[in-house]
Parts: sequence; structure tokens; C-alpha cells
Amino acid sequence: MASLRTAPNTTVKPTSWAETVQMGRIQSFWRIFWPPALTVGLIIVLWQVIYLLLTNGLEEDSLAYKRQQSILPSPLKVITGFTENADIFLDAARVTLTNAMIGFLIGAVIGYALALLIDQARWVERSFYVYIVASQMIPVIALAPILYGIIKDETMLKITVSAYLTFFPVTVNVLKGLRSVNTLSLELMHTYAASRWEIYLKLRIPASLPFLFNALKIASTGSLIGAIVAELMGGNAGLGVLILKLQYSSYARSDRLWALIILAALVGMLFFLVVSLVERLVVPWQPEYRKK
Amino acid sequence: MATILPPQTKTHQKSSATLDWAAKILPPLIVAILVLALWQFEIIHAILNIKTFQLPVPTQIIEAAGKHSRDLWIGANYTLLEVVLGLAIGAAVGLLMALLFVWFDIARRGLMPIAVATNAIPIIAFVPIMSRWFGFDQPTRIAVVTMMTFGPMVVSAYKGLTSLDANSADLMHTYAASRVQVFLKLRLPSSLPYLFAALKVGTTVATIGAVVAEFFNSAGGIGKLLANNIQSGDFALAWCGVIIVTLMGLALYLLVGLAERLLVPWQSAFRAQANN
Repeated sequence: MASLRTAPNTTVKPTSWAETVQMGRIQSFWRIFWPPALTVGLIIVLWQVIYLLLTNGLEEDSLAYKRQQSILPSPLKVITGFTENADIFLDAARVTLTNAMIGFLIGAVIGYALALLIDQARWVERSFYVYIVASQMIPVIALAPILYGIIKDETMLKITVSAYLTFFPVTVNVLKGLRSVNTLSLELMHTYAASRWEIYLKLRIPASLPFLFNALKIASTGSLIGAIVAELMGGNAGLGVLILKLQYSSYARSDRLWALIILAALVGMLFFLVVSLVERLVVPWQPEYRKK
Repeated sequence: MATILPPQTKTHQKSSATLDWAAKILPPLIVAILVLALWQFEIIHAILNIKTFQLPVPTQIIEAAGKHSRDLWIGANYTLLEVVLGLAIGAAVGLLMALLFVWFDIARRGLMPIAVATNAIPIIAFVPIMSRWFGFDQPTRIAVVTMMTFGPMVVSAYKGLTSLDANSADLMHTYAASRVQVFLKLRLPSSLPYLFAALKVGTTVATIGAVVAEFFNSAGGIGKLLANNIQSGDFALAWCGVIIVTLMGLALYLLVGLAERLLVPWQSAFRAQANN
């Protein structure tokens, strides 16, 4: 295929194609990866230096030392704080992430179905779209405590809040995506006498996928926050519950609290990465055209 | 299009405009009235099998708002200050970081991924740390809102500062404009629409963030009022809080939109078209 093109800038690589791709990938990965890795490293070094400055001259187990600990524990202690409580922490993270993910999936399905429905029925759009858009400005998490009054079951509540936070961005973005179809492609489909169903299957739905994943990336964080906030409002298990407990319990031992909060941050990034990875598999085409 | 039409069609146009307007406004209005009626006459309660103390009817909520108007007013002001200051600081930090990224590429490569990563982090979890640093009063919430809003701001501002119109850049080059001139006359104005887009999203995020951060032991604010009244079972007052927060977020959003119209009049119309 390359031989058909007469592009003047085509250079011939001495190594095999696969090898070049492999090398290029690893190289570009490192090129992108080392600066943020260095930044994180510098932050940890800075953290340790500040810690040493703050604890300078303080005796261990003195009140001043304990007060300092509650402000900034040393990075090393945070790591031990994690390893000592690893099972409890990871279990809490698993509970929260599971609920958030179930809610996320339910919300995504409902959101997508709603977008299809709105795209089909004009009266649905006329009657409800205003509210869907307006509700993006409503702090839906603030509803979590009220929902708790209605839904008594803890797990159900977490799933509901996560689903609720997922479905709005999905509906709005997918609708945009379903309508982003190129006019030329649409005319081509008409020329082929394609049915409405076929147009959806072959044109509109594929066109909506990049938009869907943009929404899912936003919603991954949203659903996790939803689950955590639902736990804060009165649950028995999960990251939110543990954060609340640790916040009250240990004045001096904030290393556990820090470890837990860093874990929550990592869980958020992991969720986001998983969605991005799935996106790469499902929508490998035109990632650079996607609106970010 | 209007200029092509003869003058006598003007009245017809006007009436069809009214009709259009009615077609736009009537269906959502009917839905609103329907929902309020179902709510007021406790039909929603019957369907979901809940009691009115769990989901108070609209008139009870209005009554509660009248009774506690002073508390709500104080709480709203407390929260509003957190939202506005947090958003302002977040936007300023974001803009400064974006400028840094434009001038030093290595800063961009090292810090941009971290700014992006903050979007994926449940910042709410950081409230306990912030409480230990800044106390139980407003500064904690301001810090949390700043953390939430600066990430999207960095990304948007950088995109804006680097998305130069090639023709304009060439023109500036032809005029032998200095780097400072290019920055002031081209980069900064062309970044404004992006900044406002991030600010608009930021208003919602900041309002939600401040309120949720107040769920943790806060000295005041609507979030504290919400959490306390949920625990004590006064759901009517809690709903007042939700409504106030919604109106606050909406007002801020509209305010930023208004500022955008005043400061970036050349972009608004164009973007509205692009969005449709």
C-alpha cells in the first residue's frame, strides 16, 4: 500500500517494521514518562526535606512532635502506615471501587439509552432536555444525603449516586456524538437506501463512541466521588467511612490517613486509566480528532 | 435572511417567532408543573413508598425556608465566599501554570500530566488533610476548591494560549512584532474563550466541591447545614439547602457567561453555533 503513494518524504528504515514500532513505542513512552516521574520524585524529596525541617530539634513522643506529625507525616511513615493496614485499606478501596463501577456501568447504559431515545423522539427532547442540561449545574452530590433518607440500603445508595453522576455527562455527550455525523456519510447511506436502523448501527453509533468515552472519563471520577460521599453520609464500609474514622481517631498518627488518601487518589487514577485503556481498544480510530 | 423578505411578512414572522418560543417553553413548563403537582399531592411518595418526612412536599420546603431564612442566608454567604475565592485562586494558579508551560516546555512535560491527573483524583478525600493545615473555617474549603478547579484551568488555558490562528501569527511576524506584543495582542485574547469555558465548568465544580467539603466538620456553610439537618431528620430544611446551592451554582454560571459576553463578544456567537 505504501508503494502506491508517491510521497516524497517516505524514508526507508533499515530495521524491520515491527522492530521500529516497538522501539519507537518504548522510546516515546519514556520520553513522555520521565518528566512527570521526575516531578513526583522531586515532590517526595521536597516533602521529606520539609518534614525534616519541621521536626528539627523535636523529641519523639513530645507534644510538639505529635502535633507536627498530624500536619505532615514523613513519606516513609506513610508507606509503613499503608503496609501495616494494607488489608483493611485495600478491602475498603475494593468495596468503594466495586460500587462505583457498578453504578458507573448502570449509569452509562441508562445515559446511552436516554440519548438514543432523545435522538429519536422530538417530544422527549423538547420536554426534558432543558432539565438534563440544567441539572448539570445542580450539585447532584448534595442530593446524596437526601437520597440516603429515601434509600436505606447502603450499597444501593452508593450505586444509585454513582449511576446518577454518570448518566448526565453520558447523555449530553452521546447526543452530541450521535448528531456529529458527517453530512456526506449520511448522504452516502441514503444513496445506498440504508434503513434508519442501519444508519444507526453503521454510522451514528460508531460516531458517538469517542464522545461516549470522553463522558466516561469525566464520569469515572464522578462516580468514585459519588460513592465516597455516599459513604461519608453514613455507611459501614469503604474509603469514605475509613477516611471519616481516621480523621477523628488519630491525632498523632496521621500517617494512616495520608496513606488512605493517597490510595483514594491512586484508585481514581486507576479507574481513569482503565477507561482510557478500554477506549483505545474500542475506539482505536481518530483519537486526535476527539474534543478533549 | 431577514433582509430578503418583504416587509409585509414581518407580522407573520413575529407570530411564528412567538409560536416557536411557545413550542420551546411550553413542554418543559408542563413537565415542571406536572412534577411539582405529583410531588405536592404526594403521588411520588405513593409510587416510591416514602413518607413526607423523608421527602417533604414543596409547600413544606417553602415554609422551612421562611422559618430559617436567617440561617440559610448566613450559610449561603459563608459558602459563596469559599466558592468565589477558591475559584479565583484556582483560575489564577491555573493560568500562571499555563503561562509557565508556554514559556518552558520542560515545565509542561513535567507538570502537565500531574495537572491532568488531579482531574481523576477524588479531591474530596483530601479535606481531612486540608482541615489539619487550614483549620475548620473557610480557608480549608477554599484550598479544596482551588485544588479542584486549577487542573481543568491549566489544560484549557494552555490549549487557548497555544491555539494561535496561523494567519494572525504570520501577520504579527510581518509587522516584526516582539514576543511580548505577540503575547499581549494575540495569545492572550485568543486564549480568553478557552479560559471562560474552563471557568464556566469551574463554577459548578467549585460550588459542589465547597458544599461537599463542608460535610466534613466545617464551622459553617450550607454543606454543614445540609449534613446536620439530614442527621437530625429535618429534610425540609435540607432541601432548602440543596435549592440554594443549585441557585448559587446557576447564578455564578450565568455571571461568568455574562462576563464572557462583555469581554469576548467576538467569540460567543461563533461558539454557540459550533455547539449546536
